[in-house]
Amino acid sequence: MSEIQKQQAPRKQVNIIRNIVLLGIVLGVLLPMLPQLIWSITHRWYFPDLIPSEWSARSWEYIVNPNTRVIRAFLNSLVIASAVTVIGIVIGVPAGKALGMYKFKLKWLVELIILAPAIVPSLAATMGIQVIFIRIGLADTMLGVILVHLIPTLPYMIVTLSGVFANYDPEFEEQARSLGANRAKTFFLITLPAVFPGIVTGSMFAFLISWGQYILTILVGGGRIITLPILLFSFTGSGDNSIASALSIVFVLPAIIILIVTSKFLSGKSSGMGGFGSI
Amino acid sequence: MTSVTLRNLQKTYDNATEPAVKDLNLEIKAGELVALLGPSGCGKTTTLKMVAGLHDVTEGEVLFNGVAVNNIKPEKREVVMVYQNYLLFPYMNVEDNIGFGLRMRKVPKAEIADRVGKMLKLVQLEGFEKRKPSQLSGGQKQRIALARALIIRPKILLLDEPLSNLDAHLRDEMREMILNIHREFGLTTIFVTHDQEEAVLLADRIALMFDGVLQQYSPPKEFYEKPRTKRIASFFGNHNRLYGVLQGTVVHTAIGDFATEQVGIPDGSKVCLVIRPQSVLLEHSGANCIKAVINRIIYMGTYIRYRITVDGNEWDIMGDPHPLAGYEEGKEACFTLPKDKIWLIPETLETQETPERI
Amino acid sequence: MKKFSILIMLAPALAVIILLFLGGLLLGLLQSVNYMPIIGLNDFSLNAYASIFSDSQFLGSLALTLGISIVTTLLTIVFSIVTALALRQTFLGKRLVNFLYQFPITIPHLVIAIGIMLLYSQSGFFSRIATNLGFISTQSEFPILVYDDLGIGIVLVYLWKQIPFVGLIVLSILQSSGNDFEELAHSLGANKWQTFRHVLLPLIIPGILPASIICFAFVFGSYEVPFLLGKPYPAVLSVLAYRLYEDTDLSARPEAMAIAVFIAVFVSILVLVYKKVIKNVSGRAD
Ligand SMILES: Nc1ncnc2c1ncn2[C@@H]1O[C@H](COP(=O)(O)OP(=O)(O)O)[C@@H](O)[C@H]1O
Ligand SMILES: [Mg+2]
Repeated sequence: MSEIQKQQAPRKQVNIIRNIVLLGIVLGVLLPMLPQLIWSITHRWYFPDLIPSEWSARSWEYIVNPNTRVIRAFLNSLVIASAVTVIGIVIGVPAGKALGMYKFKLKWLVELIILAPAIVPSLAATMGIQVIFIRIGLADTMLGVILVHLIPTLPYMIVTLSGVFANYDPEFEEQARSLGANRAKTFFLITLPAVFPGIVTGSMFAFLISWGQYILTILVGGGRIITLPILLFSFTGSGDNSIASALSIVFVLPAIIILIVTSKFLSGKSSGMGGFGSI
Repeated sequence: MTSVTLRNLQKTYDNATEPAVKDLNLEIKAGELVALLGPSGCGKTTTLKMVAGLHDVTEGEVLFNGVAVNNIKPEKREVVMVYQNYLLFPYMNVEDNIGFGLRMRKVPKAEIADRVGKMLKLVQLEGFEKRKPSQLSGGQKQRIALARALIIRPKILLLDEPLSNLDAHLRDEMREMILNIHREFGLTTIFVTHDQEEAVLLADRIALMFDGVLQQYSPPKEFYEKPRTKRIASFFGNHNRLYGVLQGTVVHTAIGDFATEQVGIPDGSKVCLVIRPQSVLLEHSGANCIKAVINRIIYMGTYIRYRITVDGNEWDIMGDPHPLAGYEEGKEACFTLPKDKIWLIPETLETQETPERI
Repeated sequence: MKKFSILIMLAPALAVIILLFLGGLLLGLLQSVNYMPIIGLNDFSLNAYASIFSDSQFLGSLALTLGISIVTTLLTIVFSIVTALALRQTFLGKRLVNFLYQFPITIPHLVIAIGIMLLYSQSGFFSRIATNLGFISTQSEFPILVYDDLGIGIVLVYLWKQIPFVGLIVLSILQSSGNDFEELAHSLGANKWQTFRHVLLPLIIPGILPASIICFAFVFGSYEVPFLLGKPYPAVLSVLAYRLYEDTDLSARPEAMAIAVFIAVFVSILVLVYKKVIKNVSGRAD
């Protein structure tokens, strides 16, 4: 009997530690997202009150008011991030296929070049290229912002896709063709479903990196291209916690939608999350 | 030397509805080499892991030398398991892999080096000390994994499918090595396999499992000659069947009466008479004789196969590789079932789950 | 033919990255040495570098940036392993916790930076709780966790984002082979701690090193979080660089460029050293 108790004691201890860690995860993740929910419907919240003294929908009214810059900024962010994602797919799929499925000379160099912007911060490159953008009229334009957003997003897109293509067996296509599927059918029924999770994951990365970008946008957009992060920065700087909070909720929505839609791809084997082991 | 007893052992995995192992009773003598045999997914690995203490038992007991070890941690049981896929630590070289268990026991370095050297010699891989697992062939990995297990001088050795990942010729070599090591160390050894031939070649006794339930536990020979159920008979290869009713020492069937020596089955039982293809004699001896038309004769090189139909069942019979007068395709011929080779399976047993002790 | 088609497949991606990224870096480098004839910079000089390296403000920023990056990376490694080990087991509500754990990966840094500010600043939620419980009487008595000398708020935001990112990698390593190796080690006589130390850790660390390097590089060069949650002086390098770049005094531009180039070069060297070390350690075996 005492032997049994001796054996079980450590297990209990481990469970306690584990439960503390799990509680830490839950609180740690949730806590920094809660204050915004409260602040966004607050009018006045004096120190050291635990509960705001005055509630109001002021910040939400501000956000949906068509005369403010919020809707404009939201649309700008959406257009830029979508454009970056689409261009990323168009450029990234062939590049990912080439890197994932073929061996060729100087492949290491190509990989190095493509991965570089994922690791080396883009600040220097963007500051450096700005003189040229000014010269050719790309500064302060949407196109200019979209172009610089491609720098940090492309590597993620391509790494993810090359991981997927590396696991992709082209003999499936041959098998489908030999079973009577034509080119189009083969593409839509065989190739696309196989690489789709990778495209979804890569697009998610691309969209979110662009969506959250501040410094590259302000450098190239020069304050004339207003996106959500830029508004968020200015309201945070001005100390208006209510509007900053409401804005940050708007700002986080696409991320949550994307997470819900893609979480089943994230954990899947073909998602290409593993591709990052290759730097 | 350690004996192993499994008493009413049961394992139900979390989030599983059916137990993976059901009410298992097994007695393994000290120094015995026992095979756990059965199709994939029948609970063999689960059983091994419960013996090793790696999986908790849901119910029942594991006893070593008659002492329950349920609450002894795996690292204290002195039972080692060699995994099917070897599981050599990829970041350690051969020497460090083999020495792992000794390092965990804080054995002095010099002694470890010495014992590792001896082990490498035992598995005939001297000079491989510094190799990484990725630089070894399958057979070499298997031998390193074996050395890594043996070096800690376990009381019981557990081998999970030790041969199934190897090529045919490596398999013979490895089988030889396992037998030699078993003889040399006299270790109580349990090994898992899904290949009945392998179990027969290696084991002193075989424990056959289907769907988590022990079917029969006996020396290999008895699986061929005295299978407890029809399913066991089929698992061990070709058996010819004939159905009838037992009356005294005679089985009455639709095609005649057959004398048997088997005892212990109640009078009047419905039985399935089974006999192996090589036990049927191509002769007419009067008693226990079947007359049937030969459907086909197939020359198999080392023997000739005769195919006949007996009371609606296809039978195969093995005969000498020389054509025999009177035994020709399309002709009726006589076949004798020696009464000591006839085995009867009561028709009720098929559904019964706990085997009789043999 | 095949060579050609591979080139075509790669061309757009290479073009974008070479023109915008490498080209931009080169232009930045040229501007940092004050030599770019098309915009009228003709006097090559290393003055910008000389001046930043002798500037105590730059050195302070460098120390702060390094400190934040190193601390963040180390804590990320530790907590990603701890959390992954806890998440690996079965427990009630596992699906929910797993979902929560993936959450931070998609949430932008900015949002969490604001959340951390609202929670931990001297007028933040925790300060209010402390005041109401009577631990402190004015907000200035609350420890400075945001806009502080050590960048604690900044580190918190990065940890929030990065622990799950690395933790998911740890989980996948543990799932692919961890269980079996762990059991094997027990069977060979290793206790829990020995198994962790000699089996799990050596399996995990090589798998998460690349991600850790990415984390380090990201923290070292990023701007948004330290701008929002850091003190103006010393600021991290990227904030300092951007401030100089925006300076109305155009003569500060080369210094801004020099700092940005320094960040890029420092990270590149770090990654190259890492690659070299990895190559030497893993040898020809893999
Ligand atoms: N860790 C586990 N969790 C849940 N079910 C398991 C686990 N391991 C094995 N099983 C299930 O238990 C049954 C027996 O498995 P196993 O003992 O591995 O079979 P065998 O080794 O005979 O092929 C199978 O149905 C298998 O799916
Ligand atoms: Mg198995």
